[in-house]
Amino acid sequence: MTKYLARRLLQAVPLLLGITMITFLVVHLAPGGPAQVMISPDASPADIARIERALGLDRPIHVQYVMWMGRMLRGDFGRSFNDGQLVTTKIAERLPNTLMLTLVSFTVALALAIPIGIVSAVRQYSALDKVSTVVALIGVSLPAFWFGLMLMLLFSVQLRWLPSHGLSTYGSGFILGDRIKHLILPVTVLAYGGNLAAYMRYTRSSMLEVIRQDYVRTARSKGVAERVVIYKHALKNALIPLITMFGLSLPGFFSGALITENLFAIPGIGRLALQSVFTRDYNVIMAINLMVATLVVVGNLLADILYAVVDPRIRYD
Amino acid sequence: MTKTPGSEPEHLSWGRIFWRRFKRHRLAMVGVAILLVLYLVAALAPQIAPYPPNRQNILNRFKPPSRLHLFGTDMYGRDIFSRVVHGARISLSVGFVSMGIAVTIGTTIGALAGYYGGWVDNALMRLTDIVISFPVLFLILTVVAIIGPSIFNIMAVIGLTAWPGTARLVRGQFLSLRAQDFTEAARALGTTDRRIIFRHILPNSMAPIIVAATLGVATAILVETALSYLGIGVQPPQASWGNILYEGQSHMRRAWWYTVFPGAFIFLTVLSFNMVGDALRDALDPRLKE
Repeated sequence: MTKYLARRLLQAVPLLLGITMITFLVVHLAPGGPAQVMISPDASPADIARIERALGLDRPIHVQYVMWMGRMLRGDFGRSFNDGQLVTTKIAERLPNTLMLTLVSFTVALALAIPIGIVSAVRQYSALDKVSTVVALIGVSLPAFWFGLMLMLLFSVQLRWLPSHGLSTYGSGFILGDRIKHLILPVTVLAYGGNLAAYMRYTRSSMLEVIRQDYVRTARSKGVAERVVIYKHALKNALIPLITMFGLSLPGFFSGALITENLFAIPGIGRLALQSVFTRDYNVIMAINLMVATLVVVGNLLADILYAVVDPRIRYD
Repeated sequence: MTKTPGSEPEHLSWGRIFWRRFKRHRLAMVGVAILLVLYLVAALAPQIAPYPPNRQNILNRFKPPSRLHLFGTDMYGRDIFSRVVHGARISLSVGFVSMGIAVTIGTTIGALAGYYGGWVDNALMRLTDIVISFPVLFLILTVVAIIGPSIFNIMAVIGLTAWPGTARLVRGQFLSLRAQDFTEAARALGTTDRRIIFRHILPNSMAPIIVAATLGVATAILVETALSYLGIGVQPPQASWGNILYEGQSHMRRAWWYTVFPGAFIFLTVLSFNMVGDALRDALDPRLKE
């Protein structure tokens, strides 16, 4: 196991290197750098050159990359070109919001998806099964931003039940009830549009497969109660494949945050990402990209390890 | 050449079996119908749209839906129905072209990796891992923001990032098919690799590729509209479903029709592709016997 882990971690290195290189190249080869965004359009070329020299942008690209790499390994992601704040500070300020939003909606999605998935498998072709299939189909087809806009139109504009922007009412501090009100719409968009449908279908098909296994029939034939057969014998095994699914859904969390945070004006990583793209804030773009890619790699690794922990048949030697 | 129906029940052609299975999915038939209508709408956009999509009439801003303006008018008094009809061209062409690029790259990489195995497989699959680990929407956003949001750039970038799924799928197919007897037989006869790949294995892997392609169009359309919605997609004044939404969201309190209709079109289109894709998966599954 240790050997396997070491090998996987080593494999992650070229992966992350590749990702940073591609992003670096894409970002830096672009015409119109941050210097042009920073100062007024009628600045002389000499002014632009001076700023570029100050930021180190006049060096050859591979030199810039190695310098960035060196600083990054020492934990220095540089400063934002926009406001001079440390990139790490900027990210640390916004990360908790994104994590909260993502975790809450992921939990909501799972809490609904798994029970519905189980019931539609146990009662295959029942009315509930058919309805949930349609609900899942609609979930994967709804454009998240439009769904969010429609919810806003109904619940914020027409009915005035729920706030449409931010995480708390302006001027008030953190109040739990207020926070929950602000979270309802974004969480609904993230949970329904992204994970709910996928996990529901996955639970269903995985459960259907397990129910037909011999050991389930054995359990039934020796007189174990149906409820115990389903929730104890079958469910445990049916949930194992969901772990892989989790690894695969990680990059989606970020795309979800990108859309939802911009739609509901939530100060998180997704909003920061979009702003940094618009202003060519190289250091911020690089840091966010690296952070998300690392999360994905680590998440997949965790999923594989968990897999071996839950399923004793799997051994990594 | 008259054939009485049922005269040769044992010899249903592959196409007939497919059609019979596909027809059973009523939702998918609805999807096919919707897509056909949409295709016609896109093809005949200038004939169907009652007004030129960019004709402004400042005196006629924010008019709610009426007989004159089915979907109402926007902030410049343009007819939203005409803009949505023209936007169908953009969405459908981005969907198909990006999917075409993605499936071509994915199939090539998957076929090479699965057929040759060894270091070729290793190298190509690591590359696939890199692309899969990317926060794709952010990458697309960055690239498009930087190289400029022309419709061709958008198609290319979506296509260049959407192939890993197909690559993995095709690799799996090739891995299992290259060990089958018919491949061995072809090799024993001295058939070239090229011919084995294109004539023997690829045709047998078409089913999952077709399904992936159908679902791929849906994803590509969603990504394009998301980009336009974030303001980095197809640029105004050219109408696309995403950029009508982008403009409409700031006038939501005043004009609900501005966001409702273009979004409903995106939703219906993506839903139809997904329904058809699901039914194709069922109908093309070789494990299910008639």
